[in-house]
Amino acid sequence: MKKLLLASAVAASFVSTAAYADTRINGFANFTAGVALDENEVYGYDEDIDFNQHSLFAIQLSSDINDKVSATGQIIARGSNDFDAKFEWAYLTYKASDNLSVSAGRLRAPLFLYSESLDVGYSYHWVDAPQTVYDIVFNNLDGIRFDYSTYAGDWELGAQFAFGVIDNPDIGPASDGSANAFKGNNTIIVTLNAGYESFKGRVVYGQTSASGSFADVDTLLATLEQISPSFADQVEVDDDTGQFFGVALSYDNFDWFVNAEYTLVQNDDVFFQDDAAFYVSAGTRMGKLTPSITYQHRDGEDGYHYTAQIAALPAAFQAALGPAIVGLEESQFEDYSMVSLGLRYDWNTQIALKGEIVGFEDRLDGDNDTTMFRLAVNYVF
Amino acid sequence: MFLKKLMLGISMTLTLSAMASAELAVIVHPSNASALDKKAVQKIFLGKDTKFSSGTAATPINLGTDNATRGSFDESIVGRNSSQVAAYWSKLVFTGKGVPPKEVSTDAEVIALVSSSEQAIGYVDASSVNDSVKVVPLN
Repeated sequence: MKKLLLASAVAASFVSTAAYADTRINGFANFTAGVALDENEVYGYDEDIDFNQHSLFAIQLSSDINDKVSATGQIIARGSNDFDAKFEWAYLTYKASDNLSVSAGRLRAPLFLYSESLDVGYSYHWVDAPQTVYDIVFNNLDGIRFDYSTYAGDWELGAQFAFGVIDNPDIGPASDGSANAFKGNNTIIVTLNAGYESFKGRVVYGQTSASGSFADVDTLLATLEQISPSFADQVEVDDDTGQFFGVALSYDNFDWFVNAEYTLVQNDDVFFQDDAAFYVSAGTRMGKLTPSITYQHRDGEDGYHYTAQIAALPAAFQAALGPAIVGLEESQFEDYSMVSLGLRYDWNTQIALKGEIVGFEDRLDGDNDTTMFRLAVNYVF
Repeated sequence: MFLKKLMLGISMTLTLSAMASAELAVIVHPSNASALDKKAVQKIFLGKDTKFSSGTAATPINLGTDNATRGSFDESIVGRNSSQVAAYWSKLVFTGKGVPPKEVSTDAEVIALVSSSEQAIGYVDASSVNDSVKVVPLN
């Protein structure tokens, strides 16, 4: 009799959770400590040990409104933002069919292979997704995203289309303390992906109409505007087209894996440089341990864009403005690589511990080379 | 009395056949006639397939991670250890793309659920199987 009661109780609870209108609460946290061997700063780490830069705590609420519509909200408190909690995502998803879902609201822009679980340290083997590729000024999109996936024999195929606005009012401080801002109107992102057994491939194209405000550049722009409005227009970030291309490949047979991703960001008529970046990472899973090695490189130095325009300026202004513009361009030059050795330890199905040592090489100025250590605890619930 | 002997006989037969194949048994509702192989079970437990071959919705039921049978199921059927399975689900959960299988703590609960729902699919230690559920042969 007792057994029967147990069985029916379990069955009843099963039925009620299988039915909708239930709300799920999940969360994740990363606590990361890092230090560089000398005063050279790399991704915010210098010789003073830091605990906040890449630490975060997040809660996600998902609620099935009916069997087709669900609502998702994700709140993240980031150490880099003094652990102020902010809504990272807030969107509704309509499951049009088994293959197609449509989400609308503030959601993750599908730029990279690991975009969607970027903040969930537990989901990958690194302490952080490779910075040369993943370090961009926005990750979220206010708009709509279509996710399509299907199977064809042993092939897993998928496509995504996203449209919306990127709005990041604070991409970092200018020298006067004000916030630099970035906005991308009419942003379109299209991705295609395919998987076959242990192989996966992905391509992505994106474009946006970029506008930005940067206090350090505004003064220069104001002066330039008065002398040559057309030149100023080529420097200023104001409704200028930016394009994004990406390719990713991965092989993962669970005993070992290799993945690689290449991205290219191109901008017209702005003072930004075009950025090409890639990483290659390989690792092996040995029970609870996953040692890995990653090489990554970013080349953001495509040369001086404004030599002809500076030469065309009236001689009186050339001497004054020329060096300022060249200086602005050079401030955008970057060419660096990193090699990292990492180790992940799966404590249990909710906690992973990680450590890594990173060698940073600045190809423009060897004096910036440094070595960084990081330890992380990743938690999911 | 007769019934007890019969039950004993059935459970012995099941135990013997289970010992011959593996320690764990994948089970479905007795009325579930869908074709299932190891790969199909894997897809259902990874959320890649949400239906049986018959078209009926499939609801996988997991054992908790502190249960040894869970570990051997993850290793032998899903093809990775339980931490890797958790990492896989963390990707889907936090992108709203999937919900991991419901977890229960004992074989008896799995059997109770599977025997009461045509949608359910679970696994238990083969010695726990009774005739209220159907064992899926996996090759």
